[in-house]
Amino acid sequence: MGKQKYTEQEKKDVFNREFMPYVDSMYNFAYRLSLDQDDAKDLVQDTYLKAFRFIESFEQGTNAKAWLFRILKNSFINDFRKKSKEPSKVDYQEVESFYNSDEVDHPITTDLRDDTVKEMMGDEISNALNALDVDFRTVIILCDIEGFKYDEMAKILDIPIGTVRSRLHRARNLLKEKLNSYAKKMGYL
Amino acid sequence: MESEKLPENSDAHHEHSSNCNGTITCKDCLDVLDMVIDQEESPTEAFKQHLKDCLPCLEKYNLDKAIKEILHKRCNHQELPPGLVDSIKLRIFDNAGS
Repeated sequence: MGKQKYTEQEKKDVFNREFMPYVDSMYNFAYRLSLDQDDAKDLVQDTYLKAFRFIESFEQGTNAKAWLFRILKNSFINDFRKKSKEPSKVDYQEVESFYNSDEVDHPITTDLRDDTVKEMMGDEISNALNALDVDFRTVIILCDIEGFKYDEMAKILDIPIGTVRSRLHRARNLLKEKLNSYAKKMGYL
Repeated sequence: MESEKLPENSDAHHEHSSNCNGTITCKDCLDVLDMVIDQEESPTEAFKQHLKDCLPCLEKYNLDKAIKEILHKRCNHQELPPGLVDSIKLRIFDNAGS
C-alpha cells in the first residue's frame, strides 16, 4: 500500500473526520487495558499523536477504528506495559501455554445461568473482566465490547484468526469462572 | 508456539452428544457456538434444531449470549476526562502549524 499525499489542511480534515469520532472507544479501550485513568489519558493522547504523524500511511475509507486500535495496543505493549505501575507478572507466551495446557481444559463446571448474569451489576462484570490477564481481557474488549470481527482482531493483535478464536474461547471460560465466583460470593447462586 | 486449535472436549456436557436426537452433535454445536454468537457465522437449521433438542447446549448458548450482551452494555462507556479532546487537537494542530 502506497503512502497518501495530503496537504496540511487535508491532514487536519482526515484527522477530524476519520479519527476523532473514535475518541470515546479509544479511551474506553485504553482504560480497560491500563486500568488507570491517567495512563489511559496518556495512551489516547500518544495514540492520536502517532496517528497524525503517520497519517499518510492511512488509506481513507479503510477501517480507521481498527487502525487506531492497533496503534493504541502497540503503544500499550511497547511503552506502557514496561513502565506500568502493575507490570505484567508473566510473559505472555507463558500465559498462553499455561492456558493451552490440559490444566484449564478441564470441563467448566459452573452453576451460572443467563438470568443470574442479567441480574449482575456493572461493577461485578467490570471487576471480573479486569481480573483477567491483559491478553485475555483484550480479546473480550475487542470482540464483545467494541464489536470487532475476528479478521479485524487478527490484524489489530497481529495474530492468526485461529489464535483469535482459541484465545477468545479461553478468555470466556476464564471470565465465566470469575463470574461464577462473584455470583457465589454475592449470594446469587 | 500458540495453539490455533480450539480445545477438544473442553465443555462439561460433551458427553451428552449421544443422547441428542438433532442432526448435529453437541461437539458440532459447541464448535460453532462462539462463531454464531459473534455473528461470524449464521446458525444453520441443524444448529437451531440442536438447541431446541439439547437443554445443556441451549443453556450454554443463552449464558454466553447474555455475558456478551451485558459486557457490551455495562463496560462500553468510560467517561472521557474533561479537556482530553481539546488537548489532543491543541498538541497536534499547534505542532503541525509551527
